[in-house]
Amino acid sequence: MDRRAFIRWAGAAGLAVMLPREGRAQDEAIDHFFVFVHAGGGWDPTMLCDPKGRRTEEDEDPVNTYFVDDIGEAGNLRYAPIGDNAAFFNKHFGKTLCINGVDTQTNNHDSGTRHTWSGKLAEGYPALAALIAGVQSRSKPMAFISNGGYDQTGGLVAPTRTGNIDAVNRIAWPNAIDARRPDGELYQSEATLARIQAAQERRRGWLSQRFALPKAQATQDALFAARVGKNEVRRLAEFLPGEFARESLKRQAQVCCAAFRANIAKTANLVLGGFDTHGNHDASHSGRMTELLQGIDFLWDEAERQGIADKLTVVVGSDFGRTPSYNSGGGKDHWAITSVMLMGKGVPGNRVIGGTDERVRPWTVDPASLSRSDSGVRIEPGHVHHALRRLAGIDGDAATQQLFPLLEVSPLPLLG
Amino acid sequence: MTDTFVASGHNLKAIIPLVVHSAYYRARSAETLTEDEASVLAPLGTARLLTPEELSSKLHATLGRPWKARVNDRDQLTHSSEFLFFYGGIDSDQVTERITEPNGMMANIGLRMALDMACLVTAEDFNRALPDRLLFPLVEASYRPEDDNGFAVPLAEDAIRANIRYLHQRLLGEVLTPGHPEEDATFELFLQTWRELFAGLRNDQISTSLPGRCRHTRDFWSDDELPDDERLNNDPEGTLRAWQAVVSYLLADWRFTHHQ
Repeated sequence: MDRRAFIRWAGAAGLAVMLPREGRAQDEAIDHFFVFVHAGGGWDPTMLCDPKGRRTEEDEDPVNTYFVDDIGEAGNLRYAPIGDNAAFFNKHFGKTLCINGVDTQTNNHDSGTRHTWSGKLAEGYPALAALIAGVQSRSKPMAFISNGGYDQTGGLVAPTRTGNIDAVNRIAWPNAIDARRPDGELYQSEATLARIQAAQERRRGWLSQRFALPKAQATQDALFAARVGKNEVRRLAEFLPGEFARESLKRQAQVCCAAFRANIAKTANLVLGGFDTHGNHDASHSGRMTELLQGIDFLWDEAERQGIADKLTVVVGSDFGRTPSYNSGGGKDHWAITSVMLMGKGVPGNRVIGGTDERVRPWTVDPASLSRSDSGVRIEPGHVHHALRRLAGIDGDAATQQLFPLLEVSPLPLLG
Repeated sequence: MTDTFVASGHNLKAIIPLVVHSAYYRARSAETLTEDEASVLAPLGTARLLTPEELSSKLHATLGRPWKARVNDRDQLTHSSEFLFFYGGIDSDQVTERITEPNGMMANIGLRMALDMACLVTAEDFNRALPDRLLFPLVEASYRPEDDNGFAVPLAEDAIRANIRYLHQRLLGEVLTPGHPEEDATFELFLQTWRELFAGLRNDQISTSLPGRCRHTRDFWSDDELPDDERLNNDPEGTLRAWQAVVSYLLADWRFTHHQ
């Protein structure tokens, strides 16, 4: 069985296979961070960066209830006149690229989320966040921070979840009885703790001989590899803010920016749910969109505060889009066509690529100029992933090309 | 197995339990494998990291209580505001996939669990009557491995070693024969830790009082405070803290935190 077949077979069997890779030194400074923000449930781009609206109150089947004349503009970007959109786009349009009319080819939550974040509709591919972290920063103790969403790793890197961040001090200082005072009373003296760890290291050889099946070996190796990076977690505690935001997305942003600042993480998945608005769409969706944009705005402010904003790329997406019509409950159902927003380092901002017609059907674009062309190609998540892999510098990674190729679509010059 | 099968009149019900319990089916180890063999055998065995819920249940089963200082506190492993997500748990809403490969944070949580649980249960268990003890049924807190002059106390050492074997079996499922290298290693950890503590106690550099969190002052399940004369606050011989080190070592072990 060759390596590729083995990996695929293991993946199909639900096994996590830690691929042997050359990890970079733990203290190597990371110069490019990625945050992937998932709007869970399927957002409505016509309430964000692909606005449609209605011309009169008499429109029988409007895409939106706001009026066309109220659609806003910030630079070259157009935005729906709802919530905090105006404030957000007027502040961030210069660093924002909107890709509209992206065809996820599904209206199923799982497969849509998978397609958006792995670039592949079929199962088995890692989230791009995991792929980048696994290729470039696997040795970092929190290389890939995941708050949920699509965080399959393909065995490339262990994800780190962050729950209640008040607990981080207790994690960073496990031997301190009161973690708010790391220099206070300890469970065991430093000498005894070192003795315990030496005994663990000695016992590893015996365990390895006694439990020699590959699965047992892999879990032992993973545990001991994790222990190597455990003290790096203290750097996270060092850079966490004194007070945490109340909103979930903002808290996630605070943790990932602190981890970036501490040089212990490369990528992060941030998640905000509640976009699956099959009923009472406008009111519910508008609230979630506002929270989403406030969270992303906060993320950029926090990145500035931590001094890593110029090294940060943010990608915002969702499972899919929502129907051009309202259902009988005032809701909107699933629609395969969506948008993706890219911001920050390496992203040509103040630009819109692709689009949709008045019923949210996707344009096709010329593969060279990216202008609308009836004989062009339909933009898919795979195109976005080609561009992001290139931006991250992993497009030339041989193992990635071999194990997780994006063969269904050819690259488009989305980022120049 | 064959004989049983034939004797049962070729009844499959008779042989299935024997197959499932056989060493071959429940493969735990193998000789050195080639890369190809390792690939083929990759699915064999059941080794995996315990989920937060499983680890919590295991603590309850082996130590008699979950990971929390008082009965009405939040469970450290299974509550979403504590370590649930950090330790790879799910909420079946936004987080639906478990983390199966430990990271640096999870390693630290495992270590804190081991240190804190050992702190919480050691004095508590020594404060029980001998027949009721879960962890230390073969020793007393007064059993020191060496006397004041540094000479071994053979009877005490025998009891300490017997209790170490007991702990290996209770916490790790390992049946060690007397003199087994793993018994020796754990005893060495106990001995060196005790020597450090005892020297500190004699020089008044270490307090005889246990840290507040490690004292037994309250019945865990009823949450009632114990009468003063039933509390265990002190460790004048250093043995309780040496046993804490041993219990921490075993609770942080791969065999405790993983299913084999």
